[in-house]
Amino acid sequence: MHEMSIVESLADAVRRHLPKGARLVRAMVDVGALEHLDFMVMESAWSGLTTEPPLAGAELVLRRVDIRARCGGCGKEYVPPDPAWMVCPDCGIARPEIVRGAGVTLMSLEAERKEGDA
Amino acid sequence: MNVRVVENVRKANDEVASLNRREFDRQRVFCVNLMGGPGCGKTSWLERTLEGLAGEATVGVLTGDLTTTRDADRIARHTEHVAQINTGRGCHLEAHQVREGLDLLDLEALDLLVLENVGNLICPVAWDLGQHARVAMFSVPEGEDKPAKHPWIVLAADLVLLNKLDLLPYVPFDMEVFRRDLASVRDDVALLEVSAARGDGFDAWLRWLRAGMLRFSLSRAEARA
Repeated sequence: MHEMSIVESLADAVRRHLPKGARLVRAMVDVGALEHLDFMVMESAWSGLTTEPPLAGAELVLRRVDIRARCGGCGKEYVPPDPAWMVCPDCGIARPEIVRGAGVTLMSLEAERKEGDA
Repeated sequence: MNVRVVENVRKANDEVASLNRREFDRQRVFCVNLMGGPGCGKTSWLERTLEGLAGEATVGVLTGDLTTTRDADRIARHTEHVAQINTGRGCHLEAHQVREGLDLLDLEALDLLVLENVGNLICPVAWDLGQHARVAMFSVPEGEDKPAKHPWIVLAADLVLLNKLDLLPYVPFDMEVFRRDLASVRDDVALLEVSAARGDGFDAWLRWLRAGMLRFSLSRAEARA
């Protein structure tokens, strides 16, 4: 269900950004590791939600973005080994500001002119 | 052809959440998004809260569930300012649902608005509703491993509640592991260990709520001056 609502929002965003008269070939999407989104479920939701042109048959390309945090103590950036272990390797406290790895971002679209269009 | 986009897919939600937040600010209502797993005791805790603040503050509740009005029916015994949002197949509240729910409440009359999210430790975290503070509730019977399994809700929370402290003698729960795991995600997170049934931690919770409401009533007084 979580994946379905995200993919619905994604399909809406794609429709808004797709050039007029173009057919979508693939959509490139960055998915933060903190989102706990299952890629297979997302792909299945995408197939179910994109049965009509101009999105029909288009590929959803998902890229997982690892978590990166900035320490609230020493200010250094670090990659936690696990989301449940946010302790700064330099100063040993856990006051992370997440700088990467949260959110879902539509990065780009690959599209082509529909057949018959000039 | 390639089209560069770079757009947060929750952009539409976040825009409505900003509108909600502006409305809460304008009406000087302290808004809390209460999140937690199914059955952790959110509604019971709210019922106690409404009793505790009776005569002192006017509290509204928007309660989200996939179906039924059972939570709203329980809350309605304590306040007239309640509305149920049924999310259907949606596993969390979204900002537009809160916006629609606000039409059913007299926001101007409220000091505090609680958005009781759908019982879920994952999805609600990602959706901004326009709240001023997020409260994450865990409970003893769920087990001590929840902060480690659901670190994002800990990262997002302004306050963490551990409910059903009264069940500690009856169910296996390692408090030391719970506290240690919580601190491994954030060692500065505010934790209150509470019991909706027995009242443990309730005074501290009310102090926390009062501090939040005071910020807004002070700004209300400034606005009148």
